[in-house]
Amino acid sequence: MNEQITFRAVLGVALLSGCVAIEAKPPTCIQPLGKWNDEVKSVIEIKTYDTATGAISGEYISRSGAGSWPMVGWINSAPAESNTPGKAGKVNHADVFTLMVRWGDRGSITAWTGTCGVNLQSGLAQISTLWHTTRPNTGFEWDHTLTGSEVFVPTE
Amino acid sequence: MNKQITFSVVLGVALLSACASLEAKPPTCTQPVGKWKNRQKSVLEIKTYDTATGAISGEYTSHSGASASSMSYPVAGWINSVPAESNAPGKAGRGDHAEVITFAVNWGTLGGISAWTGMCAVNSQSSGREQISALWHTTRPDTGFEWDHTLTGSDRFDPIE
Repeated sequence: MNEQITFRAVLGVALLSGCVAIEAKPPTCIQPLGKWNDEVKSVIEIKTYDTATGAISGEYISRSGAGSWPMVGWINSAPAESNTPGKAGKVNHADVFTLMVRWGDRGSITAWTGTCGVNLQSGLAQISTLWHTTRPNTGFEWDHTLTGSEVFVPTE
Repeated sequence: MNKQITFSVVLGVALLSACASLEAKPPTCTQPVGKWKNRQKSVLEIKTYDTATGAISGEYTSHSGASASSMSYPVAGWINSVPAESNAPGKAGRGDHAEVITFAVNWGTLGGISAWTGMCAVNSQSSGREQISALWHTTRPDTGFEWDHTLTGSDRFDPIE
């Protein structure tokens, strides 16, 4: 009985250390769970990644920490169909991400879409995206949607 | 006992009729569950809409490009439906209101993802009916170069009667 308790305690500590070690590693394109910063130091935290479906979920945390909003999205890096003879080969591969956030009472929504790759200078992963934000109440019919680009890097 | 069975049958038929009548109504901006089609006759089917969180889910069936087939691909996204801003005195009125929507499709074994972002409102220019107008980005994992992974464009979706 005592032995069993000791074993459990050891197992518990071992699992805990395992989790801590995982937590400490910055997220990568292949193992994206963790926190990513955008250029204004807000945080996208990817909390779940279902490798079977490609579904991801998590939250967007504002730079001040004053607010957080739910995020859902997809990752899909399936290889392109095999190169048929006579067809130019596809030479550039990237992991593909989309992230969507609903800005609660602010009334807007944003989708980021792009690729994840290694930044050759930092050696860290980065998600390079284009985004669209649509707002519910604006002055005119033609100014609801904003667009831009954003790069997410693993939080230091 | 017999009475109970009869009651169950009646309830069953009543529920069935209720479902059938719900099914028959075309979707709207505020009740978006149902089928929407774009110009290429691709179909966005919103199957669930959680009004508390704004989460939507469903399926997308494409009728153009590499994805054209009877196969459907999973959809996830959000709708944000807030009231129009009232024109407070001394404040510049916000003249235009819309429900806003984002949804994304995972193209499974085809590779790649598309995300649409836009709004749902009455199209005053043509049909006078509710329509989803969205801009989209599609990112593909395997392309010829580093700079051609992402495509962009616009789409309009109409409710299917």
